[in-house]
Amino acid sequence: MSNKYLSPKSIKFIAVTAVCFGLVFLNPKGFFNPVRMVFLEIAYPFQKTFYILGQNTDEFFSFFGSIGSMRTENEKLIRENNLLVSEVASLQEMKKENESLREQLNLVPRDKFDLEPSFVIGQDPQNLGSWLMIGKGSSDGIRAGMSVIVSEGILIGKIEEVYPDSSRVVLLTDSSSVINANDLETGARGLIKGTYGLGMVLDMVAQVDSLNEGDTIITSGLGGEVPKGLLIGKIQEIRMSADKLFQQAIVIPRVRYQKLDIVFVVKK
Amino acid sequence: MQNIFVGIIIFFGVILQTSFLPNFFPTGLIPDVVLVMIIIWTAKADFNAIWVRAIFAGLMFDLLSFWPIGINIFSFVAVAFATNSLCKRFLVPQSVRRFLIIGIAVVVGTMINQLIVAIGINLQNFSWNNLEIFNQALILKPICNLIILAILYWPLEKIEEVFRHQNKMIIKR
Repeated sequence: MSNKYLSPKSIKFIAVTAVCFGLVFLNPKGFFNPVRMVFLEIAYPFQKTFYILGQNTDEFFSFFGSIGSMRTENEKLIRENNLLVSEVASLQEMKKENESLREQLNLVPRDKFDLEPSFVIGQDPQNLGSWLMIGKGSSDGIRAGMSVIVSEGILIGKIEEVYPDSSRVVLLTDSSSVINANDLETGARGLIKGTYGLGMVLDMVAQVDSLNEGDTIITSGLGGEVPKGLLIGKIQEIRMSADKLFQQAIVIPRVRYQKLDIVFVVKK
Repeated sequence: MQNIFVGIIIFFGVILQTSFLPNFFPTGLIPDVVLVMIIIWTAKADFNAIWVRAIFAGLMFDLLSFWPIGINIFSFVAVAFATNSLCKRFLVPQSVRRFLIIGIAVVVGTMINQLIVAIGINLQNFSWNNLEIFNQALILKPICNLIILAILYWPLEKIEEVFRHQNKMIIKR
């Protein structure tokens, strides 16, 4: 073959391509997990520092951006505060009623979990998966499959991979995420599936079941992987599945996953 | 010593991309800091001098972003190869046009990177269900990367000047 077609540059490129294709197929066997574990141990302190620095920088610039609206907001807050003072007494009664209703609807009481708080130290940089890195790992008792919530009892995802000092949380919006769920108002059951990191769909809902826009979706606890009664989101739109056999609902998450800084891992 | 310094720059570039920049950009539009660095280096030097950096950068990025090892390695090497071919043909000494040519290389390189990564991940899973290449990220991502090019271009040029100066001093001795 003529050297014109095989310059040293081309040979290197072809060699790297061949090796990379081989590597890609070795990945499912977990061949590189020990290497990844060591690298993550080294990178962890830097990741945590940079993420917190990023959050603080974002808050600093957000503050300057909001100065113009502060006066208006201040006046609004004074009015709201006056209204709220008069509502405090009636809220005590509503709290008691809420606890009673939660028992009746089998929602999990918020203080019944053994929670491990953790900072978020990294995020998926591309939109081909949807995950967070948190700063707790196997040395803190974290295991794969544990649910991850934010403080209001809202489910955001599950632990997928665990390292000594960090873990990867796959969010509910990830395409590989599937959670058993039901409609809090009507009891309709289905599966919450992530859609390319953009949102969630409540799928496989029987046609005889009722769904309404604005309904709250919670975990059903079926399968035992995720605790029952954790909030997921609200129904925005209802439609039929492509094969017309089931109902589907687009579900909007209760929190913005990009703005999370502290999450809680449900250990028990 | 220079290689170690470059390795540290790449390491912090990866950390910046995965842990600092996600606070400011929506998912899918986070600038490819490491990719832009590879493109800048390739435009200034030859592929033969940069391919090892591209492999190292790709490996670090694959490890930290939990993608299959090999995808970003191949992507960065492919982008470096394409950039080198483009720049050899069109790059001129005059700095403004040179910067524009590198800008075009960044846009093309970003699109190549998106395509390779999306196909690579689906190839590994033997599934084409998640192949969503033609979305708004294909247009907005190159714009974000051009901003990063404007930020990184002259600092990296200064660093390369320091290396060249050091190499000259070593040769003189």
